Amino acid sequence: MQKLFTKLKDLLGKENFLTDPASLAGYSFMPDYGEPSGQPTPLAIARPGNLAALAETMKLCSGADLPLRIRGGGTWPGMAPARSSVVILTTGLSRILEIDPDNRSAIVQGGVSCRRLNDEAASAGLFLPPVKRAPSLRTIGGAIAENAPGPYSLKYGNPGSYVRKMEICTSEGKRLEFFAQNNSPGNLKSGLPLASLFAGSLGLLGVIARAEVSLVPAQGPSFGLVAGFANPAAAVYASSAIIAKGITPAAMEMLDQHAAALSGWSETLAKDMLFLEFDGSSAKGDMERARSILAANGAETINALREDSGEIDALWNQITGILPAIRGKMGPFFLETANCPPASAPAFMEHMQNITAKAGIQCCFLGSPGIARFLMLLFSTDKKTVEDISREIFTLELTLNNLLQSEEDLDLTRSQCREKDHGHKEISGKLRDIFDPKGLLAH
Amino acid sequence: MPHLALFAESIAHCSLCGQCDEACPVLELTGSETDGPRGRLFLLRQWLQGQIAGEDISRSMERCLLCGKCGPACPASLPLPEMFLAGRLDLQIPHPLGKDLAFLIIGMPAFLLTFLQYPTAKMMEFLREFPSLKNRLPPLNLSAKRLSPPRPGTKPGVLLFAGCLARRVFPEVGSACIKLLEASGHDVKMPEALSCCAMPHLHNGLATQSLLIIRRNLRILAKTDFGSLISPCPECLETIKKVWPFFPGLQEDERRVAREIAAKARDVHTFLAENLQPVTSNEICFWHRPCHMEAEAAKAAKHLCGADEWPASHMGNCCGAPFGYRTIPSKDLPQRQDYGVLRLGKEIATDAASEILASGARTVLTSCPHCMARLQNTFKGMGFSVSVRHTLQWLAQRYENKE
Repeated sequence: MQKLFTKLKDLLGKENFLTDPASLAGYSFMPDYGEPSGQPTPLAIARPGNLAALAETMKLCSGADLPLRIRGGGTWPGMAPARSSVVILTTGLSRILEIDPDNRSAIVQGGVSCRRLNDEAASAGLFLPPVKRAPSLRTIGGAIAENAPGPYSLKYGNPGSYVRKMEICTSEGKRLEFFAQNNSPGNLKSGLPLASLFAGSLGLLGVIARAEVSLVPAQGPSFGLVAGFANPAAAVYASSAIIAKGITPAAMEMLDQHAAALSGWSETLAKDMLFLEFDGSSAKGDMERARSILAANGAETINALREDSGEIDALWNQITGILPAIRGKMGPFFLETANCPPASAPAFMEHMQNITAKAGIQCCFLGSPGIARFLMLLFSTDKKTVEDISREIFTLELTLNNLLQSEEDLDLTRSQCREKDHGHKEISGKLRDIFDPKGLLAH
Repeated sequence: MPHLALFAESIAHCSLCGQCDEACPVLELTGSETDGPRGRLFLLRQWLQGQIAGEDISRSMERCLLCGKCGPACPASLPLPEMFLAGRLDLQIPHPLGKDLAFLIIGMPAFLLTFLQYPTAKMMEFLREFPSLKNRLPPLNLSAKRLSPPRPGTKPGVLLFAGCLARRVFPEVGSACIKLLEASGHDVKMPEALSCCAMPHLHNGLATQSLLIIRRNLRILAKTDFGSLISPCPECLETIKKVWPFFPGLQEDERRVAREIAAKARDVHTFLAENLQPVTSNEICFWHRPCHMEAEAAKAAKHLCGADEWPASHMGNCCGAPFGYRTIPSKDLPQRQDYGVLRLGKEIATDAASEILASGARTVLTSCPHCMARLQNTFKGMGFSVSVRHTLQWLAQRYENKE
């Protein structure tokens, strides 16, 4: 092992290959809203500064059968390091290689900060919508690997849908290049869109070392509405009514009054709230139409916001800080995510409320009703009650979706989902064997 | 861990979301998780839980600027800077020259200044009575201020806590502060024996010495009648407001005094803005917001100077001044104990100075004597002639011209 570590230190430089106790502990955590739990510390932290060094590092570690854990900015509760693993930090791969205004595209290394890319693309009048307002620590590689829906997914989709091409580094150090199938100009290729496999792969198939992504012309200043409702289900009903009338806001976020109050909204403003943001040439007209729809669908208060006066930024800052703010005030909670087909969102919301009310525990709801993705914050010290709620809501999700959400759903608490597997696990296992035959990247 | 124990609950309540990291100048420079507030807090949590040794986290603690930028960035409003200060004190990070020698170099002069200042000032006053000596004495113009009881009919007395730099390195800043306070109709008091707020000692993890200095200041202030405490140094003000009242080791009556003083401590610009009109000037300077200056105070300072449209550093870049408390050259230190803070401080200062130079401005206004010293030295080292002034100096000069 010592020999390997000396080799890696020579390869990466001593400041990019860390084995001191503080660095090992410092890269062992992920954001966590639950009870703090001891994480196993890795063996070493490797931060390659270029793609060749990344491939060589992966190859050397793989040769010694060391488990590998890929880490970008560490902004999402994802893959925590395993015991005896080597953490591969992608933040050293931080070069923006090209921003091409003519092709509306950017070529970036996987560790580039999403915010930095959008800042630089802004000078060419472009942006990458799914990661607009992403924290500066979040990396492009991480955003694609998570493919998590963000605030702007309603209108613009998830990060994975913007990938044109991708260079992957497998656990054995092989560098592979794949293209994706999407509607970007000049990207209408035929063949298997293998790059799409990596969007949402959670780093289980390899490291996203480089990506070519589509950019979108800047949409000008946006306009916003904040509407207050008597209960969260009413807010979700109103959001469905807006979409049913053919209006697609850039973003749509809902939070209930408990979440609003706990995260610092003043008593008078803390209602069950729906926030809508409109951008593009029709933003102002869409906002006015949405205002009438909200008023006709039970909104008790409606306030308009403008981006150019900083009001929308301020509101987003508050929204993105909700979970940490509640964690700081209330201590640990269980965070449950749930989604359903958008048309079922209002009924789904009511079901969720009934389930938690029946269990009699304190709970907050927030989420993006436009894409029917909700977060539930469950405040209880009784793990069994929380697991029961989680199972009940998951069963409801399966009934409505009849499909698995992701790899995460294969965990033990949700074992009933195996019946609804539809071959997912088998194929996903075979793909993993192809890209990661030793299983070094597995959870 | 007496200092850190005060924050155990807050440390446990952090979700490690990383929003604080976005504000950290050291993390921005190094990209290392353990150089940022989130990683640092996690290490403190591990240390509290006995999962890591104190000596293993000292590098991370030492590489914190204690600039305080992470505090307002925390969505949960956790007192991050105070936690890191507590961590540093509890770790009792050995100074590169060893604690005893460090005390001799850093602590002893402060003690001497504190204990000998009053007789020295009295002697200076006495000597000034001789016409032949009056103009030959060093410009201890601040020490010439004497306590005076509030005059009937005037506004409540203001106590000036000038801080070390505004008394000795930039006495013109302290004088400007007094001029402006008097122009706004206040009696200014400045007890001779008040000196250091203890922040340099806190930065070096010298808890015992810090406690002695805080106690001495509290004893003097407890005997003084004043309405508001004003300081031209935002770092002194923050220490008085956020560190003194909670410092472990204080007796209950001392803590009560510290709380009362903290409640009276006010930013000089917001205080002046209540009575003074903003100045109008065609001059365009660069506005450097000190890290320890609260947002409202910065707004008031800019408003008074008519600086709302001036170029300013993006989000207020730190100038790296707090790393300057480590005054020992790195070449004389074993690498293990250096932790690279002097180099880091220099790089941060160079970044801040480069941003100012790129704006084309050749006059910088700031509201902190530490920032003034740091930026002046950095520009000098870079070979540029840039004037760095305190907002109070600038304002006092303009009001004087107006009169």
